[in-house]
Amino acid sequence: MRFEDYYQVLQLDAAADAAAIKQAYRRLVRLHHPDLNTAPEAHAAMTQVNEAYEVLSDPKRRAAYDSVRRRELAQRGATKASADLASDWKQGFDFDGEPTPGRTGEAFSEFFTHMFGRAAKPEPADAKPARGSDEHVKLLIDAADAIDGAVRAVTVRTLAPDEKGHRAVTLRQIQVQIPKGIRAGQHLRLPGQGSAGRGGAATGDLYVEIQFKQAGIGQTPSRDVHECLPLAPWEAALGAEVTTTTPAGQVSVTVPPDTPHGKRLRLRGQGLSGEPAGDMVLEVEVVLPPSTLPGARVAYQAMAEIVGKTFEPRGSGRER
Amino acid sequence: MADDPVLVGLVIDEHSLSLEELACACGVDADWLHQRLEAGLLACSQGEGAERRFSSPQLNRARRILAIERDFDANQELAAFVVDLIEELQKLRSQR
Repeated sequence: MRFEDYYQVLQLDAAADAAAIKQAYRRLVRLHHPDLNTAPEAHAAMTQVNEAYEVLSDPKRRAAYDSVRRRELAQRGATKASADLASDWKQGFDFDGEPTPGRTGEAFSEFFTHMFGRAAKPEPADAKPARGSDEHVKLLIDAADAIDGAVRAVTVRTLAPDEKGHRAVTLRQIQVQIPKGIRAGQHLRLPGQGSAGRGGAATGDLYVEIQFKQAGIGQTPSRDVHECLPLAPWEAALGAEVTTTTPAGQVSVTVPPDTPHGKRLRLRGQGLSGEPAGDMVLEVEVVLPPSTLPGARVAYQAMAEIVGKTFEPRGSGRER
Repeated sequence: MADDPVLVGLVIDEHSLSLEELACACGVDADWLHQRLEAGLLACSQGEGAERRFSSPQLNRARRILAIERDFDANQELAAFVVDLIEELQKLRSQR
């Protein structure tokens, strides 16, 4: 198991006080927040920052973590070079707070789960009944899954009693039916799939938030589907009939003459099914044939000589 | 894995949430939601009678407001303002 250096994650000194920890956390949240930072690694970085803050902002957790860290760093300095923990790393570890799987919807590290994911004592038989908490998970799907429906697996972290009766984080993989026509941002609610209740109370629910792998598709409340339509220069200039694939199958599209690069062609009712059905929005992408293709250089030269006399691509009116 | 049962969930917009269900989903008490509804920071639709019902966008909005209040010690109006901007940004991105 990999050791997590939470001070390094928050770019802090181990002597940092509570105010400095909060300040560092806020600075990094702004940097990695998924609503602001669309880089693929931002989500993982944000989860790491949240995990570090969850530990260092809680005095009880921080004290327990600090003792493990001190020993780990001393041992590493003496003998080890790798980030892997020794098998007895939890020796002397003392944390008797509430276990947590992490913030809702975020998968914290194996290290965190081992340290803080299990109650120190078994749940008493006369525990006050309390419904289990609802849990959240995001599921990334392809547009095709929303069009045709699909079954996808999700990994869920919930709290449930282990074999010794301690409340502990459990990891489960479940299979979820993706209904046809689901949109990005919508939730599926799975009753009774959240964390276990206490004292015989009901189990919480699981909320699966749907997101599409291709950014932009299905993000709006509409059922529109956005795709690129690559065209050869002559198809865009002279007009053409081309075939493209929509959720309902293949359709023929009429490209009008003088269609510029970037123009959007909207096919009404050809998007995701539903009431009303969405549109298929095709964004024209004019693809230039490489001049190395047979005859291409000659054709470009002829075009430059003839059309180049009256066409200026960088001019305001585009004509000389 | 192949033999595991396939779970069929309820799509929130077809089966909207009650106020109590939304509170559980956000991990807050109902008062937290009442305050933000009364301040006009959260919207709801009307169910049978005067019952308030909530759909997926409202669940997302409530969880975002909660996260911003918690992470930045923000008051509810500032958190809602930030969420307004995030929603506007998403709308513009989806129109690109």
